[in-house]
Amino acid sequence: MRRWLKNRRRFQNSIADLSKEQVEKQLNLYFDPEMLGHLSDGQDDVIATTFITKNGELFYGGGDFKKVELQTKSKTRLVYRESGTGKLITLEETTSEAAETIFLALDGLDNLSPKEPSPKPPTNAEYLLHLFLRGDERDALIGDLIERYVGKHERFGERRAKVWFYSEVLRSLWPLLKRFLAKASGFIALGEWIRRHV
Amino acid sequence: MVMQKSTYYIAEFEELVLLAILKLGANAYGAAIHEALEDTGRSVTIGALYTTLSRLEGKGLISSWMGQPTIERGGRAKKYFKVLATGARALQAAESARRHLLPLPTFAFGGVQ
Repeated sequence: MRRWLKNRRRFQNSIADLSKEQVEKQLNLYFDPEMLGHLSDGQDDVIATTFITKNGELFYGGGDFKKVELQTKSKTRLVYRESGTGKLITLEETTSEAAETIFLALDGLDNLSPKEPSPKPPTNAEYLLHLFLRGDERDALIGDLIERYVGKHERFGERRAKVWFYSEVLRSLWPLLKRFLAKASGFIALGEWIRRHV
Repeated sequence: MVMQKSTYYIAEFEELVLLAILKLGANAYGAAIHEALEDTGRSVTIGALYTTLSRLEGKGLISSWMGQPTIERGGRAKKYFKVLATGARALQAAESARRHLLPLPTFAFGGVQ
């Protein structure tokens, strides 16, 4: 349970301390030819891009929260600015190619920034479903349920969305349990066959 | 190429799932398929859908790959699905069997007793 909760919270943590690869992994990247053209012109100016995190939600713009700025001169650096002190800490020096990736990530962030926190589905139902799922399908299935829950929440309100979520989880348990039992009985039958014939 | 006969047999729900994946094309992931099936008026749970998808994948009728994690989904990645050539052939076989067994229009519309 603790491990699951930790995993669930991973996106609620600040992304300011994450590496380029982690930022890239967590965001939908898209190709921005204009930005790439700007970088390849070899301009020395600082290209100002800032993203800010607050309580795990992502914002774009000003404020007194943590900031990450990307600068490009001959080399490009990912610079972390501490909130309060304003102290700049260089996280890593990157090539312009890597900078492009970060820029694309930051651009993607602008599109993904929620205006208000997205509704969270009931934790207990989510955990119950988690117990019945295979490791390789957990993320995808629960992600799909959350996506549909958010849609229902916007359309019908929290109460109906929650009822839908609980009902979906409870009705999903039987097919998942049936699959597990079929697999288990297959193993039992195989064991029995080996015991008899080997 | 001669296919194994058993590959062609698909259940009615499996057929619907394959058709939904074909219809959605590049955007065929769990939530979209679930919604497409619900739009047909059929009540289906996401658990039942995923067990069917994993069965179809086990039969070699579809393939899947993971997309990028997104914030809207609580940081969870989408799993995309694609119908393979064997899946398309299975659909064609099911369609052909249905056509073969379909009563003549005269019977269907009560023209001949």
